[in-house]
Amino acid sequence: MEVLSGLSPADHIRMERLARMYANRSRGMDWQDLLNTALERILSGSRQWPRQLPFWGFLPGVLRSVASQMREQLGREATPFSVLAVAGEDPGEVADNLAVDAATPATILADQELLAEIENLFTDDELAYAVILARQEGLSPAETMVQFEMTKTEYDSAQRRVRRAFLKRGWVGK
Amino acid sequence: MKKPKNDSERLQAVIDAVEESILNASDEELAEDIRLEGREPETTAANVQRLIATQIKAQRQKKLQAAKAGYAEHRKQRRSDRLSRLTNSADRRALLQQVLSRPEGVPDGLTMAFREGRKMSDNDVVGLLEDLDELGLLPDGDEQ
Repeated sequence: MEVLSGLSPADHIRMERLARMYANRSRGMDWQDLLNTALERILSGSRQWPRQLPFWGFLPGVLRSVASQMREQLGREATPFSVLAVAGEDPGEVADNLAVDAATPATILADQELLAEIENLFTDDELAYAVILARQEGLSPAETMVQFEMTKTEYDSAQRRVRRAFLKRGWVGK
Repeated sequence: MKKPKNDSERLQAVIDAVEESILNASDEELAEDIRLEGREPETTAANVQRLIATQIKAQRQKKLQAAKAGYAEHRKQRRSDRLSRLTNSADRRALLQQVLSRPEGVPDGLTMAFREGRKMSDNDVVGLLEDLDELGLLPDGDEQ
Protein backbone atom coordinates (compact mmCIF):
# COMPACT_ATOMS: atom_id res chain seq x y z
CA MET A 1 0.00 0.00 0.00
CA GLU A 2 2.91 2.32 0.81
CA VAL A 3 4.39 1.79 -2.65
CA LEU A 4 1.10 2.68 -4.34
CA SER A 5 0.67 5.79 -2.19
CA GLY A 6 4.19 6.94 -2.95
CA LEU A 7 4.17 6.72 -6.75
CA SER A 8 5.22 9.81 -8.69
CA PRO A 9 3.10 11.49 -11.42
CA ALA A 10 5.40 9.85 -14.00
CA ASP A 11 4.71 6.47 -12.41
CA HIS A 12 0.97 7.17 -12.67
CA ILE A 13 1.41 7.81 -16.38
CA ARG A 14 3.46 4.61 -16.74
CA MET A 15 0.66 2.73 -15.02
CA GLU A 16 -1.94 4.24 -17.35
CA ARG A 17 0.18 3.29 -20.39
CA LEU A 18 0.40 -0.33 -19.24
CA ALA A 19 -3.32 -0.58 -18.44
CA ARG A 20 -4.26 0.89 -21.82
CA MET A 21 -1.91 -1.48 -23.57
CA TYR A 22 -3.37 -4.59 -21.93
CA ALA A 23 -6.94 -3.36 -22.34
CA ASN A 24 -6.10 -2.92 -26.03
CA ARG A 25 -6.06 -6.60 -26.68
CA SER A 26 -9.82 -6.77 -26.46
CA ARG A 27 -12.09 -4.15 -27.91
CA GLY A 28 -14.71 -3.08 -25.43
CA MET A 29 -12.40 -3.47 -22.44
CA ASP A 30 -12.04 -0.29 -20.42
CA TRP A 31 -8.51 0.40 -19.18
CA GLN A 32 -9.83 1.97 -15.98
CA ASP A 33 -11.87 -1.15 -15.17
CA LEU A 34 -8.76 -3.21 -15.80
CA LEU A 35 -6.56 -1.04 -13.58
CA ASN A 36 -9.20 -0.90 -10.84
CA THR A 37 -9.51 -4.68 -10.75
CA ALA A 38 -5.72 -5.11 -10.71
CA LEU A 39 -5.37 -2.60 -7.84
CA GLU A 40 -8.15 -4.28 -5.90
CA ARG A 41 -6.40 -7.65 -6.20
CA ILE A 42 -3.07 -6.21 -5.12
CA LEU A 43 -4.48 -4.26 -2.17
CA SER A 44 -6.76 -7.04 -0.92
CA GLY A 45 -3.90 -9.53 -1.11
CA SER A 46 -5.83 -11.83 -3.44
CA ARG A 47 -2.85 -11.41 -5.75
CA GLN A 48 0.25 -11.99 -3.63
CA TRP A 49 3.19 -9.71 -4.27
CA PRO A 50 6.45 -11.69 -3.96
CA ARG A 51 8.81 -9.74 -1.68
CA GLN A 52 11.80 -10.12 -3.98
CA LEU A 53 9.96 -8.69 -7.00
CA PRO A 54 10.10 -4.92 -7.65
CA PHE A 55 6.73 -3.21 -8.17
CA TRP A 56 7.30 -2.70 -11.89
CA GLY A 57 8.14 -6.36 -12.28
CA PHE A 58 4.93 -7.31 -10.51
CA LEU A 59 2.27 -4.92 -11.84
CA PRO A 60 2.47 -5.88 -15.55
CA GLY A 61 1.86 -9.54 -14.66
CA VAL A 62 -1.25 -8.64 -12.65
CA LEU A 63 -2.58 -6.44 -15.46
CA ARG A 64 -1.89 -9.17 -18.00
CA SER A 65 -3.68 -11.79 -15.92
CA VAL A 66 -6.72 -9.58 -15.21
CA ALA A 67 -6.89 -8.56 -18.88
CA SER A 68 -6.74 -12.19 -19.93
CA GLN A 69 -9.64 -13.08 -17.63
CA MET A 70 -11.70 -10.08 -18.76
CA ARG A 71 -10.95 -10.95 -22.37
CA GLU A 72 -12.10 -14.52 -21.92
CA GLN A 73 -15.24 -13.19 -20.26
CA LEU A 74 -15.91 -10.82 -23.16
CA GLY A 75 -15.19 -13.61 -25.63
CA ARG A 76 -17.60 -15.97 -23.91
CA GLU A 77 -20.31 -13.32 -23.92
CA ALA A 78 -19.70 -12.62 -27.60
CA THR A 79 -19.57 -16.27 -28.64
CA PRO A 80 -22.49 -18.28 -27.31
CA PHE A 81 -22.08 -22.01 -27.77
CA SER A 82 -24.27 -25.05 -27.18
CA VAL A 83 -23.36 -27.83 -24.80
CA LEU A 84 -24.70 -31.35 -24.81
CA ALA A 85 -24.56 -32.50 -21.21
CA VAL A 86 -24.42 -36.17 -20.27
CA ALA A 87 -27.37 -37.34 -18.17
CA GLY A 88 -26.98 -36.17 -14.59
CA GLU A 89 -24.63 -33.30 -15.43
CA ASP A 90 -25.54 -29.64 -15.13
CA PRO A 91 -25.19 -28.12 -18.64
CA GLY A 92 -24.23 -24.72 -17.16
CA GLU A 93 -21.42 -26.24 -15.11
CA VAL A 94 -20.15 -28.22 -18.10
CA ALA A 95 -20.13 -25.03 -20.20
CA ASP A 96 -18.22 -23.10 -17.51
CA ASN A 97 -15.60 -25.85 -17.22
CA LEU A 98 -15.11 -25.91 -20.97
CA ALA A 99 -14.76 -22.16 -21.18
CA VAL A 100 -12.20 -21.69 -18.38
CA ASP A 101 -8.78 -20.69 -19.76
CA ALA A 102 -9.80 -21.61 -23.29
CA ALA A 103 -9.16 -19.24 -26.17
CA THR A 104 -12.44 -18.78 -27.98
CA PRO A 105 -12.80 -18.50 -31.76
CA ALA A 106 -13.66 -14.85 -31.19
CA THR A 107 -10.49 -14.06 -29.23
CA ILE A 108 -8.29 -15.99 -31.70
CA LEU A 109 -9.81 -14.07 -34.61
CA ALA A 110 -9.43 -10.76 -32.75
CA ASP A 111 -5.74 -11.51 -32.13
CA GLN A 112 -5.18 -12.33 -35.82
CA GLU A 113 -6.91 -9.12 -36.91
CA LEU A 114 -4.95 -6.99 -34.46
CA LEU A 115 -1.65 -8.56 -35.51
CA ALA A 116 -2.43 -7.92 -39.21
CA GLU A 117 -3.42 -4.34 -38.36
CA ILE A 118 -0.13 -3.76 -36.55
CA GLU A 119 1.92 -5.22 -39.40
CA ASN A 120 0.08 -3.17 -42.03
CA LEU A 121 0.66 0.01 -40.10
CA PHE A 122 4.44 -0.35 -40.26
CA THR A 123 4.99 -1.66 -43.77
CA ASP A 124 6.42 1.77 -44.70
CA ASP A 125 8.65 1.97 -41.63
CA GLU A 126 11.33 -0.66 -42.23
CA LEU A 127 12.96 -0.53 -38.82
CA ALA A 128 9.72 -0.56 -36.84
CA TYR A 129 8.46 -3.39 -39.04
CA ALA A 130 11.68 -5.30 -38.40
CA VAL A 131 11.28 -4.86 -34.63
CA ILE A 132 7.75 -6.24 -34.83
CA LEU A 133 8.67 -9.20 -37.02
CA ALA A 134 11.75 -10.00 -34.93
CA ARG A 135 9.63 -10.17 -31.78
CA GLN A 136 7.21 -12.49 -33.51
CA GLU A 137 10.17 -14.75 -34.32
CA GLY A 138 11.20 -14.77 -30.67
CA LEU A 139 14.34 -12.65 -31.18
CA SER A 140 15.66 -10.59 -28.27
CA PRO A 141 16.49 -6.89 -28.76
CA ALA A 142 20.21 -7.76 -29.04
CA GLU A 143 19.55 -10.48 -31.62
CA THR A 144 17.27 -8.13 -33.55
CA MET A 145 19.96 -5.45 -33.74
CA VAL A 146 22.52 -7.96 -35.02
CA GLN A 147 20.20 -9.62 -37.52
CA PHE A 148 18.86 -6.35 -38.97
CA GLU A 149 22.13 -4.42 -38.57
CA MET A 150 20.57 -1.77 -36.36
CA THR A 151 22.34 0.50 -33.91
CA LYS A 152 21.00 0.75 -30.36
CA THR A 153 19.72 4.25 -31.14
CA GLU A 154 17.90 3.01 -34.22
CA TYR A 155 16.38 0.12 -32.28
CA ASP A 156 15.23 2.37 -29.42
CA SER A 157 13.80 4.88 -31.86
CA ALA A 158 11.92 2.18 -33.80
CA GLN A 159 10.57 0.68 -30.61
CA ARG A 160 9.42 4.13 -29.48
CA ARG A 161 7.50 4.55 -32.76
CA VAL A 162 5.87 1.15 -32.26
CA ARG A 163 4.91 2.06 -28.69
CA ARG A 164 3.45 5.43 -29.65
CA ALA A 165 1.54 4.04 -32.60
CA PHE A 166 0.28 1.10 -30.55
CA LEU A 167 -1.16 3.32 -27.84
CA LYS A 168 -2.19 6.26 -30.02
CA ARG A 169 -4.13 4.12 -32.46
CA GLY A 170 -6.48 3.13 -29.69
CA TRP A 171 -5.78 -0.54 -30.22
CA VAL A 172 -5.50 -0.71 -26.55
CA GLY A 173 -8.99 0.45 -25.81
CA LYS A 174 -10.56 3.79 -25.11
CA MET B 1 13.45 -15.96 -25.97
CA LYS B 2 10.87 -18.63 -26.81
CA LYS B 3 9.61 -18.61 -30.38
CA PRO B 4 5.86 -17.91 -30.48
CA LYS B 5 3.80 -20.80 -31.88
CA ASN B 6 0.60 -19.11 -33.06
CA ASP B 7 -0.84 -15.67 -33.82
CA SER B 8 -1.98 -15.08 -30.23
CA GLU B 9 1.55 -15.76 -28.97
CA ARG B 10 3.02 -13.63 -31.75
CA LEU B 11 0.72 -10.77 -30.74
CA GLN B 12 1.73 -11.26 -27.10
CA ALA B 13 5.40 -11.04 -28.13
CA VAL B 14 4.74 -7.67 -29.78
CA ILE B 15 2.84 -6.51 -26.70
CA ASP B 16 5.78 -7.63 -24.54
CA ALA B 17 8.05 -5.40 -26.63
CA VAL B 18 5.73 -2.44 -26.09
CA GLU B 19 5.60 -3.24 -22.36
CA GLU B 20 9.41 -3.17 -22.17
CA SER B 21 9.39 0.10 -24.02
CA ILE B 22 6.92 1.62 -21.54
CA LEU B 23 8.90 0.35 -18.55
CA ASN B 24 12.22 1.63 -19.95
CA ALA B 25 10.95 5.00 -21.21
CA SER B 26 12.06 8.10 -19.34
CA ASP B 27 9.51 10.24 -17.48
CA GLU B 28 9.86 12.94 -20.13
CA GLU B 29 9.26 10.47 -22.97
CA LEU B 30 6.08 9.20 -21.36
CA ALA B 31 4.79 12.73 -20.82
CA GLU B 32 5.55 13.43 -24.47
CA ASP B 33 3.58 10.30 -25.49
CA ILE B 34 0.52 11.67 -23.71
CA ARG B 35 0.90 15.10 -25.33
CA LEU B 36 1.15 13.44 -28.75
CA GLU B 37 -2.26 11.89 -28.04
CA GLY B 38 -3.61 15.38 -27.46
CA ARG B 39 -3.91 15.07 -23.69
CA GLU B 40 -2.23 16.67 -20.69
CA PRO B 41 0.20 14.49 -18.70
CA GLU B 42 -0.84 16.20 -15.45
CA THR B 43 -4.50 15.28 -16.01
CA THR B 44 -3.63 11.69 -16.88
CA ALA B 45 -1.45 11.34 -13.77
CA ALA B 46 -4.15 12.90 -11.57
CA ASN B 47 -6.78 10.47 -12.93
CA VAL B 48 -4.64 7.46 -12.08
CA GLN B 49 -3.78 8.88 -8.67
CA ARG B 50 -7.51 9.26 -8.00
CA LEU B 51 -8.13 5.61 -8.99
CA ILE B 52 -5.41 4.47 -6.60
CA ALA B 53 -6.66 6.66 -3.74
CA THR B 54 -10.22 5.36 -4.20
CA GLN B 55 -9.05 1.75 -4.15
CA ILE B 56 -6.86 2.29 -1.08
CA LYS B 57 -9.77 3.91 0.77
CA ALA B 58 -12.16 1.10 -0.24
CA GLN B 59 -9.72 -1.56 0.94
CA ARG B 60 -9.15 0.24 4.27
CA GLN B 61 -12.90 0.41 4.83
CA LYS B 62 -13.28 -3.28 4.02
CA LYS B 63 -10.56 -4.16 6.52
CA LEU B 64 -12.12 -1.89 9.14
CA GLN B 65 -15.56 -3.45 8.64
CA ALA B 66 -14.06 -6.93 8.90
CA ALA B 67 -12.22 -5.98 12.10
CA LYS B 68 -15.39 -4.49 13.61
CA ALA B 69 -17.43 -7.58 12.73
CA GLY B 70 -14.73 -9.82 14.18
CA TYR B 71 -14.60 -7.84 17.41
CA ALA B 72 -18.40 -7.83 17.77
CA GLU B 73 -18.45 -11.60 17.25
CA HIS B 74 -15.67 -12.01 19.82
CA ARG B 75 -17.58 -9.97 22.42
CA LYS B 76 -20.78 -11.87 21.73
CA GLN B 77 -18.97 -15.18 22.11
CA ARG B 78 -17.43 -14.13 25.43
CA ARG B 79 -20.83 -13.06 26.81
CA SER B 80 -22.47 -16.28 25.65
CA ASP B 81 -19.66 -18.35 27.12
CA ARG B 82 -20.10 -16.59 30.42
CA LEU B 83 -23.84 -17.23 30.44
CA SER B 84 -23.39 -20.91 29.75
CA ARG B 85 -20.87 -21.20 32.61
CA LEU B 86 -23.42 -19.94 35.15
CA THR B 87 -24.81 -23.28 36.18
CA ASN B 88 -26.62 -22.38 39.40
CA SER B 89 -29.58 -20.16 40.11
CA ALA B 90 -27.79 -17.88 42.61
CA ASP B 91 -25.02 -16.99 40.15
CA ARG B 92 -27.54 -16.21 37.41
CA ARG B 93 -29.57 -13.99 39.74
CA ALA B 94 -26.40 -12.21 40.90
CA LEU B 95 -25.48 -11.47 37.30
CA LEU B 96 -28.99 -10.19 36.60
CA GLN B 97 -28.82 -7.97 39.66
CA GLN B 98 -25.44 -6.63 38.54
CA VAL B 99 -26.73 -5.76 35.08
CA LEU B 100 -30.00 -4.20 36.24
CA SER B 101 -28.29 -2.15 38.93
CA ARG B 102 -26.58 -0.08 36.24
CA PRO B 103 -29.41 0.03 33.78
CA GLU B 104 -27.87 2.09 30.93
CA GLY B 105 -29.54 0.83 27.80
CA VAL B 106 -31.72 -1.70 29.62
CA PRO B 107 -35.40 -1.34 28.58
CA ASP B 108 -37.47 0.37 31.32
CA GLY B 109 -39.91 -2.54 31.59
CA LEU B 110 -37.16 -4.88 32.69
CA THR B 111 -35.70 -2.62 35.39
CA MET B 112 -39.19 -1.71 36.70
CA ALA B 113 -40.15 -5.35 37.08
CA PHE B 114 -36.93 -6.06 38.89
CA ARG B 115 -37.20 -3.06 41.25
CA GLU B 116 -40.78 -3.83 42.13
CA GLY B 117 -39.56 -7.13 43.46
CA ARG B 118 -41.77 -9.12 41.18
CA LYS B 119 -41.12 -12.79 41.76
CA MET B 120 -39.10 -14.36 39.04
CA SER B 121 -38.73 -18.04 38.43
CA ASP B 122 -35.38 -19.52 37.41
CA ASN B 123 -36.75 -19.82 33.89
CA ASP B 124 -37.69 -16.11 33.94
CA VAL B 125 -34.13 -15.22 35.02
CA VAL B 126 -32.57 -17.37 32.29
CA GLY B 127 -34.94 -15.92 29.69
CA LEU B 128 -34.17 -12.38 30.82
CA LEU B 129 -30.41 -12.97 30.75
CA GLU B 130 -30.72 -14.39 27.24
CA ASP B 131 -32.70 -11.31 26.16
CA LEU B 132 -30.05 -9.03 27.68
CA ASP B 133 -27.35 -11.10 25.95
CA GLU B 134 -29.13 -10.64 22.62
CA LEU B 135 -29.22 -6.90 23.26
CA GLY B 136 -25.49 -6.94 24.02
CA LEU B 137 -26.12 -5.75 27.58
CA LEU B 138 -24.36 -8.51 29.45
CA PRO B 139 -20.89 -7.46 30.64
CA ASP B 140 -17.80 -9.18 29.31
CA GLY B 141 -15.91 -11.32 31.76
CA ASP B 142 -13.30 -8.62 32.34
CA GLU B 143 -15.92 -5.97 33.14
CA GLN B 144 -16.82 -7.52 36.48
